[in-house]
Amino acid sequence: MSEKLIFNCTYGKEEPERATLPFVAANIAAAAGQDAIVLCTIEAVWLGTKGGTDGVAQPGLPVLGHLYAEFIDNGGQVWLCGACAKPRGITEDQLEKGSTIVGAAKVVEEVVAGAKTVAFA
Amino acid sequence: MLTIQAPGSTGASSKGPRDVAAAFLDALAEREFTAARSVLAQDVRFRMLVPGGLMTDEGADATIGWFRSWFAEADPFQVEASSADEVEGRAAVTYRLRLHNANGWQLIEQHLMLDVNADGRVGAIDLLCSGFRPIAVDEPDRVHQYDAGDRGCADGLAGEFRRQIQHIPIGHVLVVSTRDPAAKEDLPSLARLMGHVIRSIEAPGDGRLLVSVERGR
Repeated sequence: MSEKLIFNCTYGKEEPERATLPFVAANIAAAAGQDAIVLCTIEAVWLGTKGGTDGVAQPGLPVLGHLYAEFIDNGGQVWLCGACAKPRGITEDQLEKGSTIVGAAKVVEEVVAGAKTVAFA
Repeated sequence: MLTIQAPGSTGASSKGPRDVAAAFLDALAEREFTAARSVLAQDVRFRMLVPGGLMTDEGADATIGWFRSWFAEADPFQVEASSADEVEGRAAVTYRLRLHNANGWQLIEQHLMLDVNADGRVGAIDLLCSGFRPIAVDEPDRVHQYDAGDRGCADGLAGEFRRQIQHIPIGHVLVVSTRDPAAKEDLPSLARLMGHVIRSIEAPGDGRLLVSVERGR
């Protein structure tokens, strides 16, 4: 039985509020000792690359770069959609600490095993 | 792995045939060709009886060149059994290797009789070779190969993996090679979701991941 909480993030720096919010929620989960994952798809895959969170800051929300580091320090993981990373030319050596490129089967396996998903539109 | 080596084969001050045999075997087993060459006399005579017939060559560089051509590119390269000994004045070296080369998994065995000169260097090698014997898929290890290349979850990895594993009997192992970063995470999940068993996951260090999957149903 998977205890994971998977927070979906689909926006990158072009939408800082939408990019940051899933990390806010996931970081709370991680800080509370939960097994938290931010699943980055579409433009959000850039957030898991080195420098990918630079300049992403929404007034009223934490600076995403700081939040990302805190989330990882709290034991959180960032999964980058492989089907989204590949056409953007993102490779393993570009990844920020805590990020992993994954495929759909990895997510499906966790959900089948009982992981809960949280979507942010 | 069966290894029969003469006691005191390393660090011996006087190099008798047994010591020379052990030194040559150790160097070959580690594919330290420069070290293997240092055991040979400059004008070593090399006779090879291989499946294609009798071949001969001369000189340390040419001789080591043959071993390089056979084994340098293999990956993985495993010594399954070996021995180094003396037969009344001649050195005897035997080894069986399991390796993977451009033609797939192979088993090869070679028997060498070495003449050792007074200075402790090998003056002549007589080699008998089994040739590279492809490991048939129905032989004991029952291993099959599938190179998934850069294929990821958005370009048919799941479907192709399912097709490949359904072509092997239940209980056999499919070794999937992948370079796609997402597939490295995905293949074990895919296999488990489809009811198969992950036997091992290896990273040879060249950017590939080798995932061995036993067909479960």
